[in-house]
Amino acid sequence: MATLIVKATEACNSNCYYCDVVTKEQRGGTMSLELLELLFKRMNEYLLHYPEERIELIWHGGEPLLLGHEFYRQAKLFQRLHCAETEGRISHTIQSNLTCFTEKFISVFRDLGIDCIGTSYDPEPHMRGPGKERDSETYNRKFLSSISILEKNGLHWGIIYVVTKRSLERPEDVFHFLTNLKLSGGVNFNPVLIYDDLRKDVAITPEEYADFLGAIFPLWWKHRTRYPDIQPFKSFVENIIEHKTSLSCGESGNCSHHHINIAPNGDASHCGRSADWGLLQYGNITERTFDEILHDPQRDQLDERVSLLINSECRACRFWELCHGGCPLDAWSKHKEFIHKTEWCNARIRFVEKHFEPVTGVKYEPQPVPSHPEPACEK
Amino acid sequence: MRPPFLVCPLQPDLLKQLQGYQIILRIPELEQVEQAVEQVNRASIRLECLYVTSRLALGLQPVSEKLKGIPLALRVPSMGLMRDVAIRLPLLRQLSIRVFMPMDSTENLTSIRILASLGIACTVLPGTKNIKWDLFSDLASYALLGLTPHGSIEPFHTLAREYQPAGRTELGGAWFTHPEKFIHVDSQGRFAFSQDELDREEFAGAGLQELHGIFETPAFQKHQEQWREQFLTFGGCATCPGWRICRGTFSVQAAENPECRKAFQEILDIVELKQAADVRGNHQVWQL
Repeated sequence: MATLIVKATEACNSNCYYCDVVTKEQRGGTMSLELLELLFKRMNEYLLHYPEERIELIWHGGEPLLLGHEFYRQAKLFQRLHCAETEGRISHTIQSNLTCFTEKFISVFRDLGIDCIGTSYDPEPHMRGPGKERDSETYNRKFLSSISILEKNGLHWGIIYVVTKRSLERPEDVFHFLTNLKLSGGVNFNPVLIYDDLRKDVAITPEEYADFLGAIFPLWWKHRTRYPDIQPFKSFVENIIEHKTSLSCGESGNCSHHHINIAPNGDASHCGRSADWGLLQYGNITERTFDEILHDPQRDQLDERVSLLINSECRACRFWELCHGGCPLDAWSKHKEFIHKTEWCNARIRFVEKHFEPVTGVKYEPQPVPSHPEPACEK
Repeated sequence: MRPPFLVCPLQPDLLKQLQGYQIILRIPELEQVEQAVEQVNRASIRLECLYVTSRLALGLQPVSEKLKGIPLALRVPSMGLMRDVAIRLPLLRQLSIRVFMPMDSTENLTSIRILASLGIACTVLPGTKNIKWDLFSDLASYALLGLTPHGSIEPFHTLAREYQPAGRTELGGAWFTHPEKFIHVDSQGRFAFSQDELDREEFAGAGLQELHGIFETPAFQKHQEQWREQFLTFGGCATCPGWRICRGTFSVQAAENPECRKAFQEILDIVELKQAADVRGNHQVWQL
């Protein structure tokens, strides 16, 4: 399956402390309707060429709901117009802060087959919110009102919580807050990724991230039926205990030929971060087909990285099948080249050895994996 | 959604307007039971139970043979003397009665346990002060996991019956304050979602004609959404491990004494243990 991360706008109504998009000097604006139409033509072209393939389109930003429900109505019209034969192989998801969500989005999201909205939330004050002061109370009110609308209309939602320095003070409170707010599960704890010196005060080390997870893991493990679908715990259990392969794009070692990030101006890149950093640029969709973009020779270096790592830095690592050296962009942020493992490997190793194995009593034994499965994209 | 029970006072003119509804009739003392039953029969309404909010201790209640077969929710401030209760016990055990008692005192929590052990169904009412949370969670353990036969103790049985990990459990179902199940009506037909709101004149409707469509009103929606307010700040009940079964019911008490967190965390464990045991059934392997 091909994954399109479509940043239809880079504008945002929030000023989240740790967000890279808001600190970017040059923003790509908002996608024009002409480009939106071309996007669906390109999808159709690709799917006609590959009758077994599917496309997952992730609406991303910026804040994608700033474009209004009419934009998505138009997207649906373009899909109907240009993808008559292939529409059944296109799925849509969206990542939004939900603060401008209204009832008007419900029907168009249903039309697009969106039944779950990915969002993110920080209970700590002034981490997210509009304006210089990050008015978290206003933000929280809007957010809570929106999830109320979602729930009333039977739409699901999931939370990505970004673990920062501030999270380390109260890990259990964070865990309970989020799992109380979202009783049916669907909470993902990701580490904050800070690449500049301006916001070092919220940055965490891989070890701190591992220990944050370690502080809440016993709670989750003891009551895991009460707290379903908490990530990355569920994924660790699937991989280590149930021997099911469940890896995110950054861990799969197999993201090279599946992902396309599309900026508001149509520029294609590998993913959000590669676009931000000017790496792995695959041209513009006005000039290149998705087939060409997905087979761009620059992608080969990501495959080569995996082959290289297994024979070098990661050779002796018993966790190789759990991370494959981690996300190449993480490696680049540290080493300015892809051919290294990421520093976040240390988080994985530390969490499993110090927390997961002692708590569960299960020692990780790598299973032979015949081939890499397709990655599940981290939204 | 099922039509709600109406909790209303004994007021003949009001009762005449309540045909078709399921009624919980509030009366102040047991002496009024006969009169209440007569009014109910005359008005041809469906009586769920009589809710007697007495000022007398249980040991002083005028129980009699005439109460047999009448569903009674008897709210008392305390048990009173055990010897007085013991005299009434044979009759109490033949009545369709549930004894409600506030949890403000250690004695009441102990009394409820004693009464339940004697086969009397009981309900712990939320208290406002001096709550012994450890006794409260002990009572939950006794109510749900105690192996000796005993009367049911609410709200624990409601929790064990209705709790779902992915859903929000409304503790007030045991106390007539669940807004989806109970509407409280005053003598003039004005109504609210609890007796407290009625007393404060925070009406959800000004007359019985407004009852139709109550679940679509802004007042009901506001009630349903109130819990979200607790998530505006990072702290308090929102971070409590037992929130999913309490939903901030004791937020005022928790602000002064956060011991309730531990109690509700334990109660949640007990409820889940009880549900798991019910699923497993009572199968036991023989043993010498």
